[in-house]
Amino acid sequence: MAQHEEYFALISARLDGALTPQEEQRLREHLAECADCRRTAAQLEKLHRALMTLPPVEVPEGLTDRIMAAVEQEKIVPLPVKKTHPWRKWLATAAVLAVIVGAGASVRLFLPDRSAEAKPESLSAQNTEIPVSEQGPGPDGRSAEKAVPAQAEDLEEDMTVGTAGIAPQDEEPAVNGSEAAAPQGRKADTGDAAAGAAQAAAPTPAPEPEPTFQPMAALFSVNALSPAPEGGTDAVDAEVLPETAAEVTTRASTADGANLSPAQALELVVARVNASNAAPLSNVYDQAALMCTNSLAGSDELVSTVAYEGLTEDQSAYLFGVDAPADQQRYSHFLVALDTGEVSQIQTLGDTVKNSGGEGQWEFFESQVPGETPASPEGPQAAPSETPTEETPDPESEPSETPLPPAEEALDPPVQE
Amino acid sequence: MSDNQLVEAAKAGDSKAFEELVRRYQGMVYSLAYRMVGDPDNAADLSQDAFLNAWRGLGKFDARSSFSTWLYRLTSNACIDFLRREKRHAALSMTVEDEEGERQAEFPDERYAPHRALEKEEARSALERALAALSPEHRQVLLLREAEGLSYARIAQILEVEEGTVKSRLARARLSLRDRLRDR
Repeated sequence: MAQHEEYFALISARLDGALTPQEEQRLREHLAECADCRRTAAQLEKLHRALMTLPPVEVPEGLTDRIMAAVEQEKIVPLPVKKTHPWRKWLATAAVLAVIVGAGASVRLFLPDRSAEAKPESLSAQNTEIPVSEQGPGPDGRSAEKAVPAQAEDLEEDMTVGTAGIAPQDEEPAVNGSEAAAPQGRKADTGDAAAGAAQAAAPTPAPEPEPTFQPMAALFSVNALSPAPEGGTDAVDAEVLPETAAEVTTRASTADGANLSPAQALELVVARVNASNAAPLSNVYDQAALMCTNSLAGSDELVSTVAYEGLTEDQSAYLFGVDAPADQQRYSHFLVALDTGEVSQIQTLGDTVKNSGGEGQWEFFESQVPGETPASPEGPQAAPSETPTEETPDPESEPSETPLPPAEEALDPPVQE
Repeated sequence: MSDNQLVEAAKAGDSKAFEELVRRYQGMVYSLAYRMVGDPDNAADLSQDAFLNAWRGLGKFDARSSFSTWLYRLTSNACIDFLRREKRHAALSMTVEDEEGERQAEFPDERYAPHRALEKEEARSALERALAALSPEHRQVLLLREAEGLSYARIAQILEVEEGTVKSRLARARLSLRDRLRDR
């Protein structure tokens, strides 16, 4: 009865006082002659009144606090994602500035206590459980931290010594949870991780690790990839970009002490991610880290690109942002040491910070991708305000004076504390 | 401070200002989320998601616009997305326990938030159960209109549809609700 449907719409609108006088008139005339519609009108009227008396909903205690805790962690702005970022383009990506600000223990790289004491004891043994950071802000019960069994086979490089403050180990990347406060705090929370921490402590004979990363309390200024990343801390002009991937790839990629190409580094990361429970990445370049949320845009749209990548300031490692397709809103960041090929995972986004109460906070600032990013004209050498931030004893304190506009444009480099 | 002032401050990174916004709107956000998804835990998660999305999206948000409208949109979108994901796992039928004993209630075309089945069904009114049986889109428009008291115009802004769409969707939602109640 299409005719009556028309009247249903009027009946409904009348409940909301949304009828024009003409419509009102027409409806009234129809109701005078239609019992069905009168009945419908009565029913809807009753419903309307009943709905207005739904019991009020009580807001649970602490909701604000919980939300603000998550917001604070968001200030560790995830590396922004570029849409349709052809894999090759990431070679041209400008620097990402990562700054560790945070609690006293922050001298290190946000990674488990590294410092110079690369002890073989802390090398984890085989099959270390690697919690993959897939946890985002306060996802209670929604996204679980997954322990990732490491798989040595996936890593071709001879990953001898982990130097980058992670559980250096023979072959597989593992996050050393042993002494690190942050990851540890987190690990304490999860049974799986505890195993990882325990195993991480297992001594494994290995050559004396040569720390690739100095405890970079300071900045991680990830510069545009240059063809010759060895070299020290010379700021690399972001404008100077490797012409082709091939050019970069020509760097030696042998196992011992030689540099990895970005492609190889990426493959290691992919292998690592594939070792996790996340959906496997079948194609290194197309799928690696593809499902990253452009969280700065406030949307859940999938962005197909490696989240971010680049060289660390000391040119010793590549930094990648990766996410598992299964969980579109979480980032994991990996560092791949160039000389050893070791993959370590950076605890990001609340994983560490949230649970350890401010172990150390990363701040990533998008710097300029030439011609791409709005704002922040400083370019990649964004703020070499290298203040190795070691203090900042108060974990709760805002990471920096520079406000972090939760915007998607490039953020200004922070003023170092 | 007005909402707009708070938003401006929050845009500049002032999380305290944002916190004030959270306090002001958490009731609105949470109650919509709760009525949409039916259980407190998910409602809290979704509320958090909504506010986080707001925080993240502040850069694009025009401070002169209505923050509450935007927040409603973020909240209801989060809820809709959640319910759609849940639907993929939800059984098409659920068991309703009422004074007549257990029986199977079939909702062949309606999506049903499975969590609701776990809530204290006995305590819920027939109305709330019927509401839970609606499709997410119907529940959404009905709640915005009836529970939140929003005008067609505002609902149209929130849902980003035409007012005429709001009007017709509301009519269908009400009829659907009536049908649910009648079928007990």
